[in-house]
Formats: sequence, C-alpha cells, structure tokens
Amino acid sequence: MDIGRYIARRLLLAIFVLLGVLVVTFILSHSYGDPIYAWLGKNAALHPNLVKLYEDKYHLNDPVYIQFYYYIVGLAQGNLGVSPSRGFEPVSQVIEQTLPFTLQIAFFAIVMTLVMGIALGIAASFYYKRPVDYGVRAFYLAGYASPSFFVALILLIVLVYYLHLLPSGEAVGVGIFPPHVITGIPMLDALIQGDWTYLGSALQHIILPSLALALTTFGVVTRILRSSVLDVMQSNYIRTARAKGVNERTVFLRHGLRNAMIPVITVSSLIVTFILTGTVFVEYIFAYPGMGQYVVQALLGQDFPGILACTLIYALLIVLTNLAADILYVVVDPQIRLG
Amino acid sequence: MSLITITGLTIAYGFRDSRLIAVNSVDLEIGEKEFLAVVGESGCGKSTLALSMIGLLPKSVATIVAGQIVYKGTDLVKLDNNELRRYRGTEIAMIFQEPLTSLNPVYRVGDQMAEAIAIREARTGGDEALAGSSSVMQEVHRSDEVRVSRVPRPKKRVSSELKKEAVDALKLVRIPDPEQVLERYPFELSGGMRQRVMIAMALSQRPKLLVADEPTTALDVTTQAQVLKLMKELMSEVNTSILLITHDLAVASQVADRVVVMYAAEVVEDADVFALFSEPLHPYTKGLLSCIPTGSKDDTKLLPIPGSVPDLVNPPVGCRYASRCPYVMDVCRTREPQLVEVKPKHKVACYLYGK
Repeated sequence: MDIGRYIARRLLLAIFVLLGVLVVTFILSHSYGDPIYAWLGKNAALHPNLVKLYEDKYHLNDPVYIQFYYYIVGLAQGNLGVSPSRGFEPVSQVIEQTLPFTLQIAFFAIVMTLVMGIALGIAASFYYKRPVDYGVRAFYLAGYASPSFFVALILLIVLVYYLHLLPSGEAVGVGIFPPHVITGIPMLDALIQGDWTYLGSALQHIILPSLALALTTFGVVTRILRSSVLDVMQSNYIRTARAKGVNERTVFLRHGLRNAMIPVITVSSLIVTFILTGTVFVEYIFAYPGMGQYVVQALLGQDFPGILACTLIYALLIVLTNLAADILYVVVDPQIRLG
Repeated sequence: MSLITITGLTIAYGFRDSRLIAVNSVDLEIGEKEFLAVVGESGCGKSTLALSMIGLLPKSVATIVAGQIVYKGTDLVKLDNNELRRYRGTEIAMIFQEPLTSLNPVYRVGDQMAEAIAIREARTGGDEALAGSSSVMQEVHRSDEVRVSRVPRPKKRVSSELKKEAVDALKLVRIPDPEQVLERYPFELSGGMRQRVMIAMALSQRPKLLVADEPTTALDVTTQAQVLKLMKELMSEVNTSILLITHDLAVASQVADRVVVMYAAEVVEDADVFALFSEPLHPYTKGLLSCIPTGSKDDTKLLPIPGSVPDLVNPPVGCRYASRCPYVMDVCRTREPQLVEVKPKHKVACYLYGK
C-alpha cells in the first residue's frame, strides 16, 4: 500500500480512538464530587451567587451528555476551554507553555533508554553467560523493578545532595532567559539560534529527570534485545553468513543485529507509553515545568478541561508513536507490508 | 590426488552430565572433482562431520577430540576460528538443508550474493580486510542511492560488476530471469529457487569443495531431482568437488561417484557407487538397500531393519550394528571391526570379510 494513503488511513482511525478516549475520560472525570468547591474554594461557601454564575457559565448542572456536547462543539472550534486549576487561564495556553518541556524530557528519556538498552543488550548477548552478562542482567532487573519516583529520589540524594554534580530541579538555571520562540520547544530553539548558554544549562537540568525515567525502562530493551540477539545468532542464515567466510564482527552487525532489532521496535513503542506516564512523577519531583505537573494540578482540582486536554495529548502521542513503529517495521523487515 | 583427507576424526558433544561421541574415528578422503556422498540415518554424525570441515560446529557443545582434517596440506583442526574463516566460502563452501531459512530475510538476494562475491574478490586480490570489515553491502548501495531515491522499487542496487557476476552465477543454476531475482527478497522465492540461490552463491565464491548437507531434503520430489541433476552438471562446469550428505541412498545413487555409509558415528562401508549398489558388503548397507521401494511388482513388502540405533552416549562394545545384524558372530560383540579394503577401492568394516 502507498505510504501516504496508509498514514492518512491510520490518522483517520486515530480520530475514533481519540474520541473513545475522550468519552471515557469525560464520564470518569464527571462522575465524582462537586467541582465548584474545588474550583472556587472558600469563595463557594461565601458567595452563592458566584456559584450560580459559574454553574451556569460552565453548564455544571446539565446532564453529562449535554456537557459533553458543549465540550465537543468547543473542541471542534479549536477551543479547549479554560482551566479552573490555573485561575481560569485558557487550557491551550497552559498546554503551549508546558507541553514542550514534557516533550523535551520524553525525548531525552527515550534516547537514553534506547542507547543504554541497546548498548547493554549487545554487551550482554556478546558476553553471554560471562560476568558482563550477569552484571547487565542484575542492573536492568534492579532498574526495571524500581518505580521512577524511587530512582529519581536516589539520583537526587547521590548526584545532587552528596556529589553536587547536577542541579536539583527546574528546567534551566536562574537568570537565564529562554531563546526566541521558533518551534516552541525551548531547547530546540536554543539549538537553532546557537544559544549555548541556555542549551548548556537546560541540558544539565534535563539529565536527572530523563535519566530517572531511562533507568527504569531501559531494561525492557536490554532484555528483549539480548534474547533476540541470542536467538538470531543461532539461526540458519547466520550459519550461512559464516560459511561464506564473513568475519564475525560483520556477521553480528550486518546479519544479526538488524534482524534482532525487529522486536526492539515493538517494545520501544510500549516504552514511550511508560515514559509519558513516568514524566508525571519525575516532573513533580524535579520541579520540571512540564505538562505532568499540570496533570497533577488538574486532577486534584477537578479541572475537567485540563484533564481532558492532557489525556487527549497523551493519547495522540501514543497513537503517533505506534504509527511510527509500524512504519519502522516496514523499513527494517521487508517481509512486513503496510496494510 | 586427494583434496581433503580426514583421519581418525572424533567429535564429541558434551552436555551437562553426559558425553556423546557423534563422529568416532572417521577416515574419509575426497578427491579433486569427485562427487562423494555420505549416507546414513538421522543422528549418525554425518552433519556433524560436514560442519567440522568448515569449523562451524556449535562451539559451546561440540569439540574435536582427535583426528586431522588435512586440506591441501593444512590441518584445519589446528586452525583458530579466524584462520579457518579464510577457508570458508572460497575454499570449502557449504549449503544447508533448510533453504527456507538459510538466506537472510532482510536483505535482497542480490546483496547477499554480492557479499559472497566481494569476499572472494578481496581474497584473490589479497585485500581481505576490505571484504571482511568494511561494509561492502552499504558501499554497494551508496553508489546508487541518488538514482534510487525516487523510484518506488529500486531496479539497481548492486554495483554493476558484482551484479553481472551474480547474474552469471544465477544463470549457472538455471534460474530464469536472474536480473529480476537479484532484486527479490528470499521470502519471495520458492524453496527450490532458494536452494538454487544458495548453490549459486556458494559457487560464485569458486570453492574447491562444496559441502551440501541434505540440500534436497526440504524440497518436493520433482524439485529435488532438478537440484540434484543441477549439482551433478555443475560439478564439471565449475571444477569443484562435492560432498553430499544425505539420508537417502536413492539420492546418492543418482549423483555420486563414490558413497560412504555411516552408522552410529562410524564409517561402515566406502565404495564406488556401482560397486556399492551392485554388490553391497556391509549388512547395514544391504539392509538399507532392501528398504528402498523399487517400484517393481515383487516390491509388495519392504524389509525394514529390525531394532534401533544404539545409544551413542553408551555405545555397545564391539560392532555397533551387532544387535541388528542377521549375520552376527561372537567376535562382533567383543571387538570392533576396522575399516579395511577388501576389494580394490571398496572398504568395509565387518568381520564377514576377513579380519
């Protein structure tokens, strides 16, 4: 199938996925508590008129499906509503400010996960049943078994509190101004404009949160790659390559690794989900001004528009990752066709 | 003159708590331009023997305990893996039983053949590092990348010289439309085609000896016949010796000049193909022959050999065939018979014929 048509079809399907996610999230978030008290706090009790005003404005007394109707109509016009947990600031504005930071963390965490995961996976399979292999296995199991907030705290204590190697939080050092907005993603903008002061500081600040995520997820890659390499290196075509007189390094890199990478693509798309969830915790711990912090705030404040918008964005990112993985399959394995 | 001489080769498989001798002091000689078939049942050690000749035994479990494999004056057993690699492909090539899985699924046929040819060229050009370490395949691709980028299915990905030679090799194995086949992935070809590609790839390296381990077992009967016929024809065309490993005496009879029969890790008979079929000496060979349906009318009953293959972890004392042999004598159960030449060029390991 033609790749353009394939992508178009998948994106069309994604609309239905997102709609489903939206319905479920909407119903769940509207199924408990009285949001007006969360929104207005003490004022709610003191000013019944104010309550009435807000209830009418945000259709809080209408049935859920009517409220959903209003939300969808707004959404279709590109209006994500306002965010009560952020002083009724437009949701789109909050997202615009926070999402780039989450994307930064997610990107670095994914890169670190893949680099660590693949390197250690290769090392473990290369030194199969030797000390390196055992060491790697212990390391990834420990990481895999620990929640990211726990790893984040350990990193904080060791690298920041005792060794003073890295800053403990925030996205960039105090007094450093962000670069001019081009893409909206600060580190990318800094890179484009050659703003090395900002980029350097931002890199220092992003190491810990993304490392905390990578340490908990790289094990999945290592584990899959290790067993996949061991499996592939037993296969008949590897024997054929050796019989042709190909040297062992080339046998491994050219004939083994490419085939062994196929299952890694599968888990990588799952890892993105892990990492996106994980950003919520590490952003909170490292005071990183990303969307994860906003999600927590929105959840606690019964901020429906905020919750819905964030959920939609996460869902969209995951859908896109899966699409990318499916396309990557076709690139790596000619036996797989789009369709 | 012999190309490869194996003497007293003994190969053991070590498992957690047992040791299995898969090949027990085997002597074998392959002449130049000779078509030799090694015949035996599953598990008799014939594949192990074949793999040992190019050093592809699974290192974690198999070890060569004793013996020599002398190829052109060099004992291959003594070489380390890296030295041995220089013999693989261009001196001794091998094709395998499983044509369906023996080609790398993610590379085009042309790329895999180009790799083989490049290795040969680098070796004959004396610059092996080029073929071995640098990425021949990638280089081959790079030259055409610009042209390729817009075409949905690249027509040309193999540099012209390598491609021409790959096409010639495919023509040699009678593949129709070879240019097209070069662009295919292995999974787009039939089993017979894949085995032809394997043969073409092996022969493109111009080996002195082609070891074929059950090359036709996975193929259907008509394809099997074609592939065998092809191998027989090619032998004279490309000046190579062939060692065919098979469990099928009928297959051996169709193509081989000489047949070696193995039973329970040992060679029991070694004879010219006509002598072996007209006048089999060893009771096992006789037994095998009476198991082949001939298609004639009195063929109503096949005579299977009674009993089963002995346990190679604890092999019996004396002749390993004794428990199944209709001519068994007392001496057979006490001392192992040696392979002796009882007629010109006809060796057998059996007390029925002298010692």
